Amino acid sequence: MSFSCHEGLKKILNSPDTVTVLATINGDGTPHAAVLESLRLTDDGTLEYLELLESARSYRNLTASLWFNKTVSLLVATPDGGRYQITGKLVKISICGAYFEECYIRVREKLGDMDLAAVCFIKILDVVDDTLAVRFARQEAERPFYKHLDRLART
Amino acid sequence: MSRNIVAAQKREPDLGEIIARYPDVPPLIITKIDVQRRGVHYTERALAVMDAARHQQRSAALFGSRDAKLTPLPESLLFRDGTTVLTDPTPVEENPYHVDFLDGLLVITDGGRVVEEVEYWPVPDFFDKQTSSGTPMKFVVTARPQRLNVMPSSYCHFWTNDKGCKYCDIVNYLKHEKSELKVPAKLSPDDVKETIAEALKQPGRFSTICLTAGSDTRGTVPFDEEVEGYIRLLQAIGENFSTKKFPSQLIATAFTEKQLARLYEETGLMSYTADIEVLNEKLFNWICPGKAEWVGYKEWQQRLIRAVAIFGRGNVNTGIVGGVELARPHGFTSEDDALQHTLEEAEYLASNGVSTVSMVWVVRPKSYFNDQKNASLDYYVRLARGLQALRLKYDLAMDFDDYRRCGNHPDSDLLRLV
Ligand code: SF4
Repeated sequence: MSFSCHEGLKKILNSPDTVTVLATINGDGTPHAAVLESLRLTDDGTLEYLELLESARSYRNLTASLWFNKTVSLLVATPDGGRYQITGKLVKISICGAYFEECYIRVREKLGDMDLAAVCFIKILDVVDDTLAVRFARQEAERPFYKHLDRLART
Repeated sequence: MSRNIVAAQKREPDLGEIIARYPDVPPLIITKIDVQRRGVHYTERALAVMDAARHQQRSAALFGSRDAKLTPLPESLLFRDGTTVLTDPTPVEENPYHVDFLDGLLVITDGGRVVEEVEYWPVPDFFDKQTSSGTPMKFVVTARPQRLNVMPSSYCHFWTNDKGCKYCDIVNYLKHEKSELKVPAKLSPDDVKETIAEALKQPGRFSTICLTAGSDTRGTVPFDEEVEGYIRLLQAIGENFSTKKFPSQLIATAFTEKQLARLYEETGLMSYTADIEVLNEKLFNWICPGKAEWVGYKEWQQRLIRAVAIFGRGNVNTGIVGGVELARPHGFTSEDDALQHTLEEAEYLASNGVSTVSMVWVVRPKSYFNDQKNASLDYYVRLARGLQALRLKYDLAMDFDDYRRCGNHPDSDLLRLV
């Protein structure tokens, strides 16, 4: 199921209470997960992620995903139990220029003495509503064998 | 470059074939190598979107370029992964890639086919300013996307008795540059200090300072003058920083331990590079006769190794001009032999804490080797992989000379994965 409401997703992603986990793999297939501190949905529907640390494993893996044309996965969790799976493709890593400098200034205004390694732009390929209730309803409808019999017993 | 050289280049496997041959090497890095290897030609459409207020134009460089001109052109290119591509404007007859503006995008094309999207380098804010002595700051300090370049002097004393490196055009280029641009031949520490101070007013723009110039053999001990000049400049630059040490690289002659210790202790310098240029003693003696005469191949290696004890492991490296080991008539006649030998010697250095980085040899019209051909794309890709594999094998970091702080070494671009 695709989550097609841009404004809805934007509100969720741009909320400070939302937790987003980025899952990537490195060159030899080792998985890596990281909580993203600075992700937002831009007006044109691209995800913009500010990578603060040059040494971050996630930055290296994002670079590899751009270099070798691989997708990345993001899990978005809201405090009310909402869960969304986003599949995306890194389309650009910006390490300099006017917009990068604007982001650098913003980061330092917000976080104090912090650095910025790159502004990463991720194109969204798919968004799936992964909230437990939605997933359960989907499973009940699509996989009728996936249940314990006692749930069907006469009471 | 003769028609034969272009014809030979066209017989070699092309970019697509090499990308398919090396699935472990990022296609963007292979593309960068080929763009550096073949150079670029800017179309009228591409030049029409160059905006001097936003884009950096070709500035005073240490070495010349393939077109032997100083006309206003974009300084260089950036790929969409942040990779820096130092390009050389190249005459169309020499089969360069074309930089074009198509469907609202700046792209490089080959034979009319779009290869990759590119951007021009952003111009630094300080480029339109002058120092209090009236020198345009862009002639005092030049820039890459994230690096400041200080080139204190464009003269190399190895040319005094005609023993400059055979691929190098520094002295001939200097005459050209000085007369056409009025670039100062020697920089004053005050001008440099003031320009760096101005550059630091642009938050997020720069992450390192690199100093380099020609060799200066003068002094009680050879190169004392060169060392003294760098110390003066580094101390002046250092006055802009709150910490004693600041991210910086010196690319210079192979100095003695005493000279290196002075550089490390008396300044904020954090890393050191002495380019050995070619990893073979016989070829070094032929191609770099000045370095051979004043230092010697084995001593050059030992000075690099000794520098590790002073600057620390991971902070010392050497550069080679990739492909020059195949120069005629004394170079290797097979790319396989050249690669094997180069990597063996690079391994000796790596095992002693010294990284090797390669540059793509750009044949310069004002150099002694002006009629030669650089190596195949396949060779450069294998060289990049081989040098990076040595860093992994010997667990050698090289943060000071990576994609952001330099951008001229395809092998060190691969550090982004580690
Ligand atoms: S040392 Fe060699 S490459 Fe460097 S400036 Fe002198 S002649 Fe040119």
